[in-house]
Amino acid sequence: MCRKPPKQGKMMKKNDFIRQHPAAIVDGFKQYIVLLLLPLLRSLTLFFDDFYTWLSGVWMDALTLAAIIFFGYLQWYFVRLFPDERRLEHRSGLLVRRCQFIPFSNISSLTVEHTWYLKPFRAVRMRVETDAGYNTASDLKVILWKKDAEMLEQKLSAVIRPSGKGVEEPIVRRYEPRGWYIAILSFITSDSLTGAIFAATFISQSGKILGEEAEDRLITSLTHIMRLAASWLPPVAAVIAGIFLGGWLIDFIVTLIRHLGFQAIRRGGELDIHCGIVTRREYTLSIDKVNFLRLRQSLLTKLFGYYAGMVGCTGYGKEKNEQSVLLPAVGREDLRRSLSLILPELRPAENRWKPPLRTLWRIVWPPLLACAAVLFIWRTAYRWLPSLRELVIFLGIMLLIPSVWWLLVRVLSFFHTGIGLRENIFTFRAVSGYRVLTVVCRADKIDKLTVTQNIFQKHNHCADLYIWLRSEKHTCLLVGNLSLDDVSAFLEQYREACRTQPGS
Amino acid sequence: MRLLREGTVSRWIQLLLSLAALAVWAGVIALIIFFSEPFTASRRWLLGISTFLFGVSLLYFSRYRDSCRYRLTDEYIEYRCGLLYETCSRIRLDAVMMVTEIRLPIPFIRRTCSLLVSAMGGSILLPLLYPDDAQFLLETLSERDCPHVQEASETGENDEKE
Repeated sequence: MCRKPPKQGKMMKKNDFIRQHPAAIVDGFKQYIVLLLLPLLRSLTLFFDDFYTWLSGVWMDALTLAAIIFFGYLQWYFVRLFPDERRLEHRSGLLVRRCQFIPFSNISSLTVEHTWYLKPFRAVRMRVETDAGYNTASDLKVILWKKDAEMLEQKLSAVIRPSGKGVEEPIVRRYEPRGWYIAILSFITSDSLTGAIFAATFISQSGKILGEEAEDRLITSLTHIMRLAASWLPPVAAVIAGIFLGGWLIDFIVTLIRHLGFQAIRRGGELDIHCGIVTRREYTLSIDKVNFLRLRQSLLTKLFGYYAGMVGCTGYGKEKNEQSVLLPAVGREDLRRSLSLILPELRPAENRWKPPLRTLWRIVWPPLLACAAVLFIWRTAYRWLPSLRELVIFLGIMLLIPSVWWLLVRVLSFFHTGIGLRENIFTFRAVSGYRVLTVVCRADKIDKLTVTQNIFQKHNHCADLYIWLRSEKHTCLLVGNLSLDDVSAFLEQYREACRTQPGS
Repeated sequence: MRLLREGTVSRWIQLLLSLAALAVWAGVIALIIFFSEPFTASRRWLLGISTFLFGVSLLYFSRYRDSCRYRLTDEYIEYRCGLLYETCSRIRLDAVMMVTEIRLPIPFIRRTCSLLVSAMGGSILLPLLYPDDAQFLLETLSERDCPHVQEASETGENDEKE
């Protein structure tokens, strides 16, 4: 049951509960407040001398703004946190009262976000995550005073680090990547679409806040820049290239800013990850709750021998535009050293089971077909559309590049795909789209295994293996075209690992 | 396996469901009376059927409450409900991650509360429990072992090291 409120006349101790920072009053409605406040202030400058005329014109907007702030205050007033040594109690709700009890030992990750505009007020945004709850929202999300957030972090650390009788002080191990490793991570993970969406949101929001005139001026400037930059290309091609390159560049810069200053610190059963320069984020992860390690490569980074290491832990990398980075970019040698330092539990093993040579054709025929189809369409369009030949050549090249790229990735995947095993820790190597993946996890973190075989695979005596990993998001890995003997051997080893591993 | 507690939900659930059925029935009656112009001949039949269904739902809800039972053992928590369509949900205690207590803003049922037991992969809602039952379940589910703290507090050591 929720704690009873203090009786009347009895002084409440200051450290009984934690309230949110007053910034939380306006934070929930900040978009609407900006939309209401800016026109009010703008009209105030016009009627500066005559306050009553101004008020008679804007009284409705002012009243709405006051109501929003009042409801924000009520919401803020009823949110309270009661931490003790074992658990965190979160009380909220104006009409429907809710008390949430979260034991510290069940917390997977705790995130403290020093948002740039909250820094001057010594306020931080804190998110608490367990393996339960919704996969789209945090289990607990509050804005706290910095000192209160630090106190909660200490309480969590006291539980997840090994401590007590007979346990020594945990050794602190620190990993700080070089600056250009962060640039490689941004290069690998940047996405044209994300950047384009970011730019579109920015333009539309600037239109909402600053007015249509500003939005029009921004779009005109962008069009002018694009025209200057690509005077030798057809206009349609220039727009397509501009969207792709511009989107990619924006996402590259955003990812770079988010991950500069990255460091990972291991203290016993706790893994602290800090990153970001404008908005600093501090993640505290419980090692027991880390589900898997995922090493990601593109074709280029695979050729140069670089990896980007992500870690699967509930709450880490969950928010919009966040990534669950553990090792921004490392070479082969650095990977072994860095993992021994901060995550020795999950080190990848060499492939023990891999696809046989007879399955090579099954792997390469889809991209070969795609290449042939693109070439055929390209040639037909070139012959039938003589007036658009410049554009057809450009689009043909643009379509052929991803098809050839896909073919190269698929050929590479044949040599990469497989399953490794070391001391009940499985390593799954697979390819997903253009990404080359290596996933390392404990046997008890595998939730489901599916073996599928189509009629062509029956003929070849091979099968596909789908591995469903424990994760908030849908995380399924396909290790394709393993021989049936290898699949059976893997399943036998998996059963054995589950039997010997505690908690599985 | 040891049984720790079992019981039913409070009688308020029957009242709330009956009130909901009454609201629906009243709405249907209003629709039949005011908006059945082309089917005026069948109005009496429609009124009769809706009243009959309302009576059946009242009977059903009186039995439904008895079917809502929870069971807490040292291994799992289980909740069963339903007469025509019976469901049974069970969560292992070691999979329980957090418990949320919910109180409705209705004055006469303020003493009862509902518990949302969240675990990896799903949750169970135990609606409108009696205060003693809710207290017991909450204490058992939310204060389960926390090995490091327990060990340290037994020896009187301080957990905070840095």
